[in-house]
Amino acid sequence: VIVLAAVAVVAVAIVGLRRRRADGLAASLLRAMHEHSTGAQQAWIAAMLAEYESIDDRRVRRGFARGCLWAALRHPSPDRGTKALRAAVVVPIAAAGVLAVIGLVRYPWVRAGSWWSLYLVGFVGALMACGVVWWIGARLSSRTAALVGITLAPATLASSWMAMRSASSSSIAFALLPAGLPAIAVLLITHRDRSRDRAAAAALCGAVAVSLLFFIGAVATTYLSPTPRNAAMLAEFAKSGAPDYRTWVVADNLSGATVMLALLAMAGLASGIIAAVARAPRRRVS
Amino acid sequence: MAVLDAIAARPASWHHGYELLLSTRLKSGSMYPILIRLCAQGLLESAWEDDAPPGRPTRHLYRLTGAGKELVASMQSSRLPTIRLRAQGAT
Repeated sequence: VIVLAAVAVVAVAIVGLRRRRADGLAASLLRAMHEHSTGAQQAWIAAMLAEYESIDDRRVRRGFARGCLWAALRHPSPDRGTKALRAAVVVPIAAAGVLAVIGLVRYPWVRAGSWWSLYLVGFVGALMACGVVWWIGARLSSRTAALVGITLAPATLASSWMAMRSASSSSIAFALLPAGLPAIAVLLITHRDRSRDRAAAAALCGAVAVSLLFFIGAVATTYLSPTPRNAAMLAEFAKSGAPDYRTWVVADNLSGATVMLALLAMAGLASGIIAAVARAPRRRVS
Repeated sequence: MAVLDAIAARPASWHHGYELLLSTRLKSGSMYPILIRLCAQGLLESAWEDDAPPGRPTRHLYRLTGAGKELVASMQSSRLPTIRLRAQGAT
C-alpha cells in the first residue's frame, strides 16, 4: 500500500508539473540549473534556454529542452563543491554494494534458489537510480544537498539500528520512520527561502540519503550486532531450510533491506514532493 | 563533422543553435556538447545576437574562427580525392 501510494504521489506530481507549466519539467530543471551554475556552464545553459524560448512548436520545445538538460548534466561543472558532492554519493553506493557482496559471499545459502538474482537486479537498479537522482539534486543546489545529507544521516542510521534490534511491531515503525524525513528536510530548508529548486533538491537528495543510509545501517547492524532471537523468528527459521540461524537472519535482513532501499526512495520522494508542493512554490524558478 | 560541415556551408555567417540542429538532424543533447567542445578548442566563436526580432529572446550565434576555417578547408581537401575516385568509378 505504501509503495503504491508513493508511486501514485510521484506520478501525480510529475503529471501535475507537466500540465501546469507550459515549460515542462526539463525546461524547469534547466532554468534551476542556470540559476545555480556559474561561468561558462551558466553561459551555455543561457544559450540553450534562449534557443528554447525561440522555438514555437510545444512538442519540439520539450524535446529540445530534454536534450539540453542531458547536455547540461554532462557538462563538467566548474563548481568544486558540486563536483565533490556529486562524487560523495559514490561512497554510500560503494558501501551498500560492499555490504551486499559480503553477505552473498560469506553466507552462500543467501544465493540459494532463484529469488536472490531478482533481488540483485532490483538492488543494482535502485543503486543506479539513487546515483542519478542524487546527481540531479546536487546539481540543482549543492548546498541544500550537503545540508540534507548531513542532517538526515544520524536520524536515519539510528532508525535503521532500532529497526533491526526491535521486536517486529516496533521494527516496522522504525523502518518506515525515515520515509517522512525528506518532508521534514524540505520544511527546514524552505523555512526562510521558499524557492522551488531548493525544495526540489531537498526532496530528491533527502529520498536518496534516507534510502541508502537505511540500507547501510540495517545491513551493518545485522553483521556487527548479536543475532536477535524470538519465537516467531525461530519458527520462520525452522521452515526456511537454512543451514544455521545466523545465515537465515542475514538472508532475511538483506532481502528486507533491499526492499526498504526501493521503498524508502519512493516513499521519501513522495513525502518530499508533498512538502515541496505545500511549502515552496509560489515563486517561479528563473 | 556534421556541425562543422553545416557551419562551413556559409562560413562567414553566424548560425543559430536551432538552425544547426535542423541542418545536421542531430538532437540537442548531442549537438550542444559538440558546440561546447568546438568553442573550447577555438574552432568556433560564439556571440549573442544584437538585433533580436521583437518578442523573441536574444539568441546565441556561432561562427567558424580562422582556425576552424583552416580545419574545414583541410578536411575538404582531404575528402576531394575520395570524391573524385567515386566520380571516376561511376563513369
